[in-house]
Amino acid sequence: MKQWMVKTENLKKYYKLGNHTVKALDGVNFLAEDGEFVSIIGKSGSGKSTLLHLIGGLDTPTEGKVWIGGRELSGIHREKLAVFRRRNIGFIFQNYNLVPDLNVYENIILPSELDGAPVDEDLVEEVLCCLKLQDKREAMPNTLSGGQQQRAAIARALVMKPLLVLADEPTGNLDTETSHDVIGLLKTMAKRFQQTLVVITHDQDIAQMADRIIHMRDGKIGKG
Amino acid sequence: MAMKKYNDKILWKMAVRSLQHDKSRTRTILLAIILSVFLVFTILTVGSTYWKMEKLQTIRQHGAKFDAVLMGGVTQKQREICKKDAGIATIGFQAYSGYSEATEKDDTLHSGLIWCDEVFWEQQMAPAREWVKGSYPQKEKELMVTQTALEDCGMGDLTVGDSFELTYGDKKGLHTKTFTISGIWDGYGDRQVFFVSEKFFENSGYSMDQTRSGSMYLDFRQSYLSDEEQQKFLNRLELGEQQYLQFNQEMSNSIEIMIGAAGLIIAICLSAYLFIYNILSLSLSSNIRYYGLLETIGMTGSQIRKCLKRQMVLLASAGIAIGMILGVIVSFRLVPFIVTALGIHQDDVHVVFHLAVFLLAAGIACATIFIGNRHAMKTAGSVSPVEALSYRGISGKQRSHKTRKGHVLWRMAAEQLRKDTKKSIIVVLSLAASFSIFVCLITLIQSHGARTVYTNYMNQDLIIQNDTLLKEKESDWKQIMDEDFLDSIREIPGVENAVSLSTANIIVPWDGDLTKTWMTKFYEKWMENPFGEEEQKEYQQHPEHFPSVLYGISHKEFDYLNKTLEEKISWKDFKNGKVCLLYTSGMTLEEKDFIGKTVAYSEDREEKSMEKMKIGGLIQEEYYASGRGEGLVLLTSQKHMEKVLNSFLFRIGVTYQEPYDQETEEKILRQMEETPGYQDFSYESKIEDMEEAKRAQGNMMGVGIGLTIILAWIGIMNYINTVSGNISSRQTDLAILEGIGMTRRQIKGMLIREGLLYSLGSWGITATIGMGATYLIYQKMNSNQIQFEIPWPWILGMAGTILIMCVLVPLFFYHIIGKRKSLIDRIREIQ
Amino acid sequence: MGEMIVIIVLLAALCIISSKFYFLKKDVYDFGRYLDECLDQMISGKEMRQMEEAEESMWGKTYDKLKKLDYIWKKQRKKSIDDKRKMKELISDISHQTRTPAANMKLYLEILKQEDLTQEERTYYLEKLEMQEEKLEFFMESLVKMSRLESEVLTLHMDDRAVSVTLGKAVAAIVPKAQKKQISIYVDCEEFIRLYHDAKWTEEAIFNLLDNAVKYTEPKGKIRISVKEQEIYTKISVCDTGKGIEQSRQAEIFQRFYREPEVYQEEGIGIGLYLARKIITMQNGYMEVHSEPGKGSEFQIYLPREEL
Repeated sequence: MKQWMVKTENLKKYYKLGNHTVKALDGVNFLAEDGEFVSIIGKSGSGKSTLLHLIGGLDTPTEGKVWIGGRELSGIHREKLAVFRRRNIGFIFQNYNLVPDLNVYENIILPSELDGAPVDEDLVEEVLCCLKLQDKREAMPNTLSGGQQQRAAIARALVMKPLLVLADEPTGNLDTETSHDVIGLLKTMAKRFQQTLVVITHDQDIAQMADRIIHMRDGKIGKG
Repeated sequence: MAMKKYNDKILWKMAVRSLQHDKSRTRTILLAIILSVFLVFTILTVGSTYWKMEKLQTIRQHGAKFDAVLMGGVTQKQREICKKDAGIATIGFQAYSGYSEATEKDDTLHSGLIWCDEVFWEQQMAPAREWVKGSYPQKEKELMVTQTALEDCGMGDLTVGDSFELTYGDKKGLHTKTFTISGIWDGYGDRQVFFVSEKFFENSGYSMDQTRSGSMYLDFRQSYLSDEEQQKFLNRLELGEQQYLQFNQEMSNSIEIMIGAAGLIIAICLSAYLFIYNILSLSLSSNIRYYGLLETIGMTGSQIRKCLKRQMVLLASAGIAIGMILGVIVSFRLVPFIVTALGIHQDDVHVVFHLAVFLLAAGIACATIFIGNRHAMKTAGSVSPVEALSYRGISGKQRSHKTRKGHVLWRMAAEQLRKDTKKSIIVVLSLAASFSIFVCLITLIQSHGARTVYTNYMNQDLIIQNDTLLKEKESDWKQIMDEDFLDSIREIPGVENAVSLSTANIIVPWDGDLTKTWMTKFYEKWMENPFGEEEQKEYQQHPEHFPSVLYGISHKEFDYLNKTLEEKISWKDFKNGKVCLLYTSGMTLEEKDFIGKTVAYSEDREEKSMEKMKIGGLIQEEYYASGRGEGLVLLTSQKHMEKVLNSFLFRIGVTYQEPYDQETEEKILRQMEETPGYQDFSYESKIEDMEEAKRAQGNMMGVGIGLTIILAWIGIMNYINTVSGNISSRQTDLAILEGIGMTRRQIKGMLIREGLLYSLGSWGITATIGMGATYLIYQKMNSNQIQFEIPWPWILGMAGTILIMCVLVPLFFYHIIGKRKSLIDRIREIQ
Repeated sequence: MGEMIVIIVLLAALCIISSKFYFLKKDVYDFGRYLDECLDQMISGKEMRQMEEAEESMWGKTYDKLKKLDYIWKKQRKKSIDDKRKMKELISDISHQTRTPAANMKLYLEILKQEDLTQEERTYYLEKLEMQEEKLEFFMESLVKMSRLESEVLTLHMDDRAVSVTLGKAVAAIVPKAQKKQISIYVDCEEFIRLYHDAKWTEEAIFNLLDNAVKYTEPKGKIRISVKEQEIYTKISVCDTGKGIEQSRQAEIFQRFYREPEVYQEEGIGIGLYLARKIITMQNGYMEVHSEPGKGSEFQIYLPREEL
């Protein structure tokens, strides 16, 4: 008996573009085991980002269903989806991850503050330490390097102790070395906090670090 | 619910941070709020101060607080009508009870004896009084006095409780009695007066309904009555011939100023709204990814909206506070100045800070800010995170449209404007609004002098008058101006012409109908008693006791007057003295009673040299009011006048070759000084009137220019804001255009054309709507019927400025972005 | 008039306050009731009642936390079941793996028991027996290590020390084996590079990688070791000129008892890479492999430079 963290069933997402219908996702059945690190690899336009957006509840599918930790997302109102996200899902994007008006520390505690929850200072301290951001606590995002920004984004994704962390090309703008640092940390931290991690990438090396690799092509999951 | 609102603190923090982060945006919005609050506040303060000072001024001028006064006696019926009228707040009565004749110290007294009722004394007159000692007279031989009246009696050292002997006259004749001073007061209005008790009035022989005695003061509940309402009220009272009801003129004046202020406030609010709307939607499009990010990390749409609202609350409260403080500080100096310019002549203009003004200004500002923010809030709160993540600026609605012909750059420029129609319209509107207001203000200010100044009769430049002719006794009259004097003025270079008005007293013997109708009407209008048997008998025997006046007028004046007549008369007949004109002396005369009738007159008692003239028409020009005698006022030609021996030159009207020729006027005045008996000259100079008006115009100019600059600034800032945002959001488009082979020169050409289209749009609106509104306002304030004239240099200058600015601003911003990055960087930036 | 207004205002204020109080009280009671209900369901192990949880309210937040807690508990319960299953698998693996040498030893002992053996034969079989015994011993040792790592009972002696020392020990241990195949080993490591790590276990992991490299590299091949510091991690890479690993198998090689099909006959039990990865992961590091068939392989160890 396996416990599924993420499960999608015949997920479809179609866009209208002029007279054409673009099938961004065409019947995807995706499963991520609890505590697993899954990477999704595919070319641009293969639908991997769309899949991630649907899993994260950022977008609504044309057809099909998404379950996160046993909870079905369709039918949740947009406002509540946002609340659901901040409590259960951590997001890391390629760029533009941090709120430019807030410093690193404030960025990291933002989700818990939005939730009105008391900030778990010990946890924040631990996460900052692990991600080597202790001296950057008060720094503003625009003074940070790309790797530091992504680390801060990881810290923010972790601090609400979400069950699921979704990363969309988290190393897209970073050089190889820094990419390895960031993914290594992400993986280590996710294991430590027993989180399920889904990473989208087009980089074979990065994908390889995952427990499982899923290939996507033309809106479908391929073998291999 | 109680347990739901718990995570608000972070929203405040984010709002503050966001404001701190985007300092230039914060500063501009704050400035806009401060400015509009300041302006609205100042205008409202001016309004409320004007309103109050104007009331005070009216009260002081009239010596009491009332809106209308019924003079010439009050009938019981009219009193009842007014008492029943719910629209009237207070009704006060005054009655003339006699006049003071002499005391032992002085035998030429000028003070009247007046009784007023309690309402008038306690309620209507109180606001005009500065202080009062003692009480209103109760006993017959008690007086309420003023220092002025006492001094007039030569007894300025008396005070309350003192007595003095006074000889006074009433209906029954002269009496001498000892009066006790029951009170002294001082204040505004007529102070040459003794107030007497009711008993005194009852015993004086006068009564309320007598023409000379009673008057009723009405204070309406409504602060403004329209002309129709006034007329309706007038009709209800059914006034007698000698009665007349006078409304205070200022009632309508203040309404116009209030409407003007409201219009200004609306214009300012509109500008501020456009400004705030513009900045916010600009910052929105640059922040859309930011909102998307916030949504992905779990900020709900309502939290984003709240956060934006907080920002506005912070900005609004800071802006309103600063604006108000600034307003209060500046008001102390500015408001009295403006209020004076608007026509309040009080030494002590107290700035009125009404609580309602504070609330209203804050309320208006809040509403403006809120409405300006609404769109941004709605959009930001409803942005979908996925859309935001792939957001690339407003690319406009993908509407299909036909390929248009024309120059490619013009087409592209027009396409750009159509892309975001709403924004384009807003920019054009805000430019047009400031331009229109400028046009309106400058037109009004430029024509202020001409529109409002009191001009001389027939627009003459200088009118010289022989004041000796105003004296009652004919023996005091002197011929200080003669034909030589007239010629000497005509000879002065710069004088176009000088026309004279000669006058003489004549005697019109009793001839039945004509004189009887005239005298009866005249007595009804101007005298206390009717033209009775006694008077008629005296006239018949001594017509010289009722002198008539003959004026000799020039050809020019005749032509001018002839235009006002329904049935024209020929110059030839008039010149030869066959036909004359009759001045109505302010009475309403039936034409059939006079026109066509023949009037006979002579110069003196001997009736042998009787002349006869036919009355050709009635004229109403007050210029011919004589103030002498009760008889007819006849106008004939100067030619005919020469036959009259003892005629005097009354007035000379001078017209200059160049209007407002200072030099010529100085020469004439010098000429006058050299003439013997020059102290009896008086003159009315158009130049001096004009200078007076110009001073007022100068004040208005200062205020107007300040206002225009502020409005223009708002419009220009709006434009700069939109264009800078527009250009920076189009960076990629522009870079791609450059990439596919459009030269920078061509791109600049396109941007220039866009600017031209904006300015043309604003010109168009100004030329139609703006001009139309200006014309309407102009006519509303055009009391002198001056022709509508557009001050072209100013308006063309402003139009040019707008054009230049519209073209330069986009070029400037394009220059800045082009300098910063290479082409490929600019293309890459959005990926 | 004024008094009326004051009274009305006071009444309105009273209404607002009392309604506020009423709703607050209701909220608190509701909160308590819901909490009680959910806790009951959790205790009895039932599925929690579905409620509108994603709400911006006190209860919504608490409910979400409860769900998370419930989820984690269930996960842990499952994990202990998994652990037991893993242990069972391990035991069966061990019994399976030890069966062959044990059977061999038994066979040799049977043969040795025969008296008609020549001295040479005897020596031959004794050597064989010794080899099997050594193999079994190595096996047992490995199993002990593995089970200690697996059950996570060992303590790591983490300290900040020079990498070169640890690396040197591992290389020294592999040199005799490499010399046999005439494989040359190049080490590129700056003396000053220090790393927060457990010397003994890290040496073991590197040794395993080297052992693996030697095993799959043709004689006269080359092994290159390099150490590089990154911002967060220090990379230790072991590069060989061996036959490489096919892409499809790259994920499998780290599994327990995995052996390349072609080298099944060679010595080894397919536990080296598994152990290496286990050791590195326990030190908060991670491993990567880059390889193409025929072009050699590169194993990379990433260890955090400082304590995480």
